[in-house]
Amino acid sequence: MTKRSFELNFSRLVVAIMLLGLLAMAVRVAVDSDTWWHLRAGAWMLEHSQVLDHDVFTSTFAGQPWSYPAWLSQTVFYLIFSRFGYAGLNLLTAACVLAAFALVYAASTGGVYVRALAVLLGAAASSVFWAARPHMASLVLGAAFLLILELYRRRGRNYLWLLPVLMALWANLHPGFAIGFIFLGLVLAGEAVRAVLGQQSWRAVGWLAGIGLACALALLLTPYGPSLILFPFQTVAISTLRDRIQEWQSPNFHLREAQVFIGLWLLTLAAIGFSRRPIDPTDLILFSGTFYLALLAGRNLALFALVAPPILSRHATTALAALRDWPAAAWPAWLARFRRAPSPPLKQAALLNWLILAVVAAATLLKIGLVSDPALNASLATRGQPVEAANFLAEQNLPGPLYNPYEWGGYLAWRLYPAYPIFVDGRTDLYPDAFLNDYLRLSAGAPEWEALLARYHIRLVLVPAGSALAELLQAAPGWTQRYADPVAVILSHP
Amino acid sequence: MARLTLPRLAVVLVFLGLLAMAARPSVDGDTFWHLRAGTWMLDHGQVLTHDVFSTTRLGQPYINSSWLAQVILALAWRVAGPAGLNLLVAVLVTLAFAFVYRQCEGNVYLKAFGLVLAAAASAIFWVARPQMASLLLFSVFACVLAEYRWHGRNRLWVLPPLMLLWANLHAGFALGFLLFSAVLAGQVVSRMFGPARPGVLDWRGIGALAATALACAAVVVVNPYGLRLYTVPFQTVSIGVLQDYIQEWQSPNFHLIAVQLFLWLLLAAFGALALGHRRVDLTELLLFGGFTYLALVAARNISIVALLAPPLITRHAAAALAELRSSRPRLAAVLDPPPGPNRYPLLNWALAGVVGLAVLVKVADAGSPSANDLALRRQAPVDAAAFLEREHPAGPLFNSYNWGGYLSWRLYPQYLVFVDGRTDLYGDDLLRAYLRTAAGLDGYADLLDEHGINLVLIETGSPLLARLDQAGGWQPLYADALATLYQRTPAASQP
Repeated sequence: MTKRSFELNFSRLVVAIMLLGLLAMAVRVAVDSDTWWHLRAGAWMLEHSQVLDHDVFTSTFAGQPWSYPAWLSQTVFYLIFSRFGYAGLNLLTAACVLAAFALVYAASTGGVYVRALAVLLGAAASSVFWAARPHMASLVLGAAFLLILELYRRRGRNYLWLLPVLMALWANLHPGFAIGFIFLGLVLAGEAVRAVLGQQSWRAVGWLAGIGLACALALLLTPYGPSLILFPFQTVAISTLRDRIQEWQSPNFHLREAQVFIGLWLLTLAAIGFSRRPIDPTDLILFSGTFYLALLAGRNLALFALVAPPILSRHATTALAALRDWPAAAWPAWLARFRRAPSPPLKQAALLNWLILAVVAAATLLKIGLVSDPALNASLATRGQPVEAANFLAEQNLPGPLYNPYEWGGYLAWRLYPAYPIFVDGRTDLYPDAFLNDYLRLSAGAPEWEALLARYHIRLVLVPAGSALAELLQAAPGWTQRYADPVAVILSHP
Repeated sequence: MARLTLPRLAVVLVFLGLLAMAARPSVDGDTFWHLRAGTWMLDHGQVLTHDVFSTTRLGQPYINSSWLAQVILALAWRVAGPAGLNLLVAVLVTLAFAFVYRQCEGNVYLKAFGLVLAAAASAIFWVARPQMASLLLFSVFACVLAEYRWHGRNRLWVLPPLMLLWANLHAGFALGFLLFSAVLAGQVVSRMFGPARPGVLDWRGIGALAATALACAAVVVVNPYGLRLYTVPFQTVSIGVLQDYIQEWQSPNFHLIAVQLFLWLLLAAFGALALGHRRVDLTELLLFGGFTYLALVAARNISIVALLAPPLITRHAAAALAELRSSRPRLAAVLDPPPGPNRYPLLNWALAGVVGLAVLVKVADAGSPSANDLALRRQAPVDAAAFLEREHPAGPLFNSYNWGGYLSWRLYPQYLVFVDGRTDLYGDDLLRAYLRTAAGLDGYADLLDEHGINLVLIETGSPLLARLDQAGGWQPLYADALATLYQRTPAASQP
């Protein structure tokens, strides 16, 4: 035997194409309307060399204690954006997606096609969340947690010590660190059931519980102090959030991404129904637990997308094997003709595989190049935002306080800080429910709109063109229109 | 006399409980325009073929696909008022789940569990509307098809006459054809890849099934609107406003505990399938998966999944229990107790009697005027309508979509409505214009002027009122916590 060179067989080609396809899927304009205030916060922290622990961006709650435990990712995002612009953020986001689903692939077992397909389905189901925001860290770290737990309980490889280390990192990157505890809790419950059934040792369950405690201790390693532990609970408790913001609501299955999610669930249901392989209790608890969470809040689709592919591929592989072993006699004659014997491998197969890989890689590179275009990014990233109106405000320096709608707050903070403090933005945890209700009544043009504007001493208003409030103000005495374009209207009151 | 053993007692209690659950105030916003239409047809002795209730669509022909159900609802109202509707709904629900129960497998406690969970998940859809007919008929269809393929009991001949009835009761007859399609697809594929067996028909049986489906499709034509009825289900589903704004056509909101029960039903189905080693029946998987998909797209289909889930859950849970009996006999004995001697027959009768009495009290209470009035006032502008009835200011009236049915019921023919729940009659354009106007957006004045509106009756605090205040030419005539009525000032009404 001579030295073994790397052979690109068909299975490896499938994996390589899957990874390249994931990258190509994930590279796209990654800045969305929430990215802006993360960038603004990152810029502020670098400028002041301190972690943001009170509000500095609004006129309504300036100085109030407020922090969002994501200082590390916010500063990284800002550094990358200032060095490499939009293309940098696009690539960073795509790299996170690729890393997350490569880890999901590593955690799955079964035939290579089935695994690749299941992973791509999971990726597609989570694709709506791929944006340049700190939650990308939770996608990667969530996948890492699942892989480490999988290695421990199924393949006898103990890297559990990594979990507290990762948790310390996670707690500085995104409040989604709660996901790590959700995964740990579900796995712990599942392994406890297995221990009761005699499929697992109580010692292993104890190990997991100990690691969970160590992870909780790791939460202390942040600038936010022990109160960080309460942060996820506070976020979930904001009722206005649940009522108004799409990603905290039940998923809308009229949208395509949510349809992929239900496809993933139904396929797994079918695979398990046909496989006759008894489900592992931990798998059942993880799968059903994250399914439950996803139907409560659309943003949890991402958790399900990380959990489901390995379970789908495990059972689909068994189900398909049963189908392949079906006695040929059971097939109707006309159908049996399509059962070909496997053909011998082509001699030039390796070469052909390299060729295919090169073509796919070139296409992926092309996509990366195309979405790096600054003009394209600038136009897509600010889609729906009042770009021209913000330019106008930056030039004019009109007296405030400014009223602005929720969905423009982040962008305006990015563009106009510190000249114009904003009224409200996407940081829902900063604002009390009573204030958000005032805001919602005002933005709908409720009959008490004048009293509401007076309550917050508003003298400058930036509102969507054609909105009820815009039209009320345009007809109201004392208000002067300063600026109008198809997106936004600016009015002022002396 | 049948001996009332413990398992039998459990069945009796489940169905008494179901009846008690279902007997409650059953009117919702849409009930009233059905009652209005039914009453009109009883009064005139003819089927509605054109609109007579609105100013915006007066005289326009439309297909009133629920005519027979509306007549039945109106009759129930005539006989016993709201109590009549409540009792009718409760009986239809109980019957529908009786047909579900027939298809379940396993011991009685398992069946009761599946049935109660499913009934609870579908409970928010039990309202006095023609769709209750679809609930019962879907259940009957599913039961006949299941007994045919699992037990060889051929009662397919009842389906075409039932379809004839269904087509005249509710546009949901289309669900029957979805059921046929899923069963036929499942049977054909299962038979192609395997022999006939319980659950999978031979080719002859599949042929009989297909022939029955065709016969059902043919009898749909026997209705007052003829061939045009075939298009109604497609039209209803294609109304964009319906999907964008009306909750029951949207994806379910699982923050509501009543809707979350559906999620628990899905988890139970998945768990039963995953824990039992029994291979899933393809037909059953297609039915359950297909309608679950539809329920996630439009919440109203949850009521259909609730009819399909209990047989699936109990079949697989029973298989899992049977496996448990060999692997863990002690646990199995608790979950699936062997039949014992009937020790206390008298006690069982007494228990059934007490529960039966309690159910009677519940049914009577649900029929009480105070309970029904309370339920009504929560959703309908009762006092504002009384004001209009008494003072009779001159219309035409612009009214909130949510109240159109009630106003039509209370005030016809004194007032015609601007819009009500008959979305297929009004169409996307008018409904979108209505929504913009109710939100006080640009063009609201044009719509009001175009229809010569003199009265606006809308939810108190609505943005439209802010616009009317500011525009001038309108004065408040009546207001309470629920509804506000504005009138165009006389000077403004005749420019």
